[in-house]
Amino acid sequence: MANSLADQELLAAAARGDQAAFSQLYQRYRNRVYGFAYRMLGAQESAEDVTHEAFLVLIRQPERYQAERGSLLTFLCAVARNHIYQHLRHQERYAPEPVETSDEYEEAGVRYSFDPLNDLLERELAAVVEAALAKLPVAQREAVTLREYQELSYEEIATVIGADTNVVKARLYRARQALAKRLAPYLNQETAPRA
Amino acid sequence: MNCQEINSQLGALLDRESEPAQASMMRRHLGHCIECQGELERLRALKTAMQSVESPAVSSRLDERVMAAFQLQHGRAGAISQVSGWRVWFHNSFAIPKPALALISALLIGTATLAYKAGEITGMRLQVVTPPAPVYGQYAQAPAIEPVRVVYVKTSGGCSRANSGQSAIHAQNGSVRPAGAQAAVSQFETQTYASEAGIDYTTRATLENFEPVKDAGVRVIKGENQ
Repeated sequence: MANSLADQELLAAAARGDQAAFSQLYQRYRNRVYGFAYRMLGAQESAEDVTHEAFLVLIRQPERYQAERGSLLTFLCAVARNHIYQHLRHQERYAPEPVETSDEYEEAGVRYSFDPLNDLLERELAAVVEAALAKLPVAQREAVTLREYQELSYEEIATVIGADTNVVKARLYRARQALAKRLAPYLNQETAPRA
Repeated sequence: MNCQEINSQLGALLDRESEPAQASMMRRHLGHCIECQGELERLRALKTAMQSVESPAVSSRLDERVMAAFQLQHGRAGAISQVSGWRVWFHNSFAIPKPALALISALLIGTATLAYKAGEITGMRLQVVTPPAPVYGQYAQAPAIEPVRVVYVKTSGGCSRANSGQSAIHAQNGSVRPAGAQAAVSQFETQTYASEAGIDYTTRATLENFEPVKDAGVRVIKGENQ
């Protein structure tokens, strides 16, 4: 909460033209807003545009942030989300939720290793996780990204997406089930029961 | 709670988002249910795997854009945004102290008048002289050509008479135009300053038909020591 008070103070100073205060706010949240946009859109340029737009709101209309409705990060993510969905619609990537099949992951060009214990590298794991994340339906990807990477609470995620926390729980559950299924060969090396 | 209900809540338990009563009930169940323990470990491994993905790095370009937007909003001179650079420049141009701005304006007007009389602006077409194109071997890699668009024209020693000679543009970094090509001058921004020898002129000219746009790639020495 101390952080949120500091945010308010910095935002008030930034609204008066204090560049150092704004810079501090920007440095504090740029990675998380950008990370959210990048993981949702999968394109650096679009993610930069979204992040830029989110911070433009802080610059031009700082009064739109109301601390009693949530943290500044929540606000920024909510603003970013609007722009993310605009981009998704524009790119015609906001397609109906795909039917998940057992072959879906293979069709995406990501191949399982037959011997992941020996083959798997950190970089490969990261690539596989990102690919699996990108294959999730938008709503699930959004929930799991906000939770795992932006580290928002369920309540904050609910604020960002404008839904109930039960919706958040349900989406997270479905997202994790899908991810666990797709990443099973990589997860099993750590969790497979030892003989 | 049965195993299916427990499994649907394991994520919330890992995220520390379960109600205390529910969390303790789940922990009791997990204490004796190997299947649910396995599911919890699977979710934990998933969480670890997801956290192994590095966060994408924010580019300095984005930093500049955002900070330029702030400066534009609050009227500060500073970094120039790549998106709205001309707006920042326009805004910043008014940050120059008024006496200096007046002096610069007077000099610009005077220079433009003199240059106009000398016939250096109206209808001027500059002769582009480019060095002969080098012949590269079949496998030799040609140096990267840096096309130009903006040139600088410098005139020394006053400008009391019309310039009848051809102006030469020496493309220091190469040019996409063939030798001898004509380039139409579409824009001038003229600055001048007094010197002991007379008046020097430095004219920033924008040439058409040079693509892509690249500033300050060429220096033009025009009419020196006339």
